[in-house]
Amino acid sequence: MNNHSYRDRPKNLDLRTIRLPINALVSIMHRLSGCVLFLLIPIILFVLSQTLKSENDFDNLKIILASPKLKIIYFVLLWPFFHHFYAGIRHLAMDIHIASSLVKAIYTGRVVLALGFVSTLIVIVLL
Amino acid sequence: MILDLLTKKYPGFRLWFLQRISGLIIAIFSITFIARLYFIDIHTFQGWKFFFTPFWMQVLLLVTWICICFHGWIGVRNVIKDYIRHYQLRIFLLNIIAFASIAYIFIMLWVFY
Repeated sequence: MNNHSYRDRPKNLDLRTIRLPINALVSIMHRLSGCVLFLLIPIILFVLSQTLKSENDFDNLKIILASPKLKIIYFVLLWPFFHHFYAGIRHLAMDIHIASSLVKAIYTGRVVLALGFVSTLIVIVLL
Repeated sequence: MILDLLTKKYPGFRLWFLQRISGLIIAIFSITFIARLYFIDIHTFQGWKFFFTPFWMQVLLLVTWICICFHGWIGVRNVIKDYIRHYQLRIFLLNIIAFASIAYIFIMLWVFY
């Protein structure tokens, strides 16, 4: 008897050769950005406590944070925030069955990716 | 039926629900925060201090901070449970993030209020 189960089928989990569909891409970026934001919590705590302590501490930290070299770091930190924000709203909408069909989801996925990128750029320019 | 979902009969649902609600609150806070930046100049210490002075802002910040810690805890917990297969490492990381999340809430209370 030919008793092959699904375990014997060839499988490809090589991320370099898989082209992620847009929904998978938005979803995995939502996860990744969430992890990055979780690691940012202590930094946010530190900045908040320092800047609200006294005028001296505020000015000291402001000089450090305002240096132009840090702009690239802000980009790396702001993009996760905006992507997580927009993708989160998309997930919430899907939970109440708004735009959950595949065609609409592909469209909103592209919108989320673009909005996250554009918002980050706008903030970087305004900074 | 809906309230039934929040009881112990459906243990996964409560965390799932908490994550959605906290996410919504964080989103509302984010919008408020960004909108407020338009009205208040935070480049001086006085402005930055004034930013957090109103009572409603302090309450909103506290509620949001607790939501951030819970939201982060549930999210990272799910990620760890999905990808970390090594048992001891998984338990270790789960404990670390649970402890850290609770600690962040108390550090915030200590620092800010």
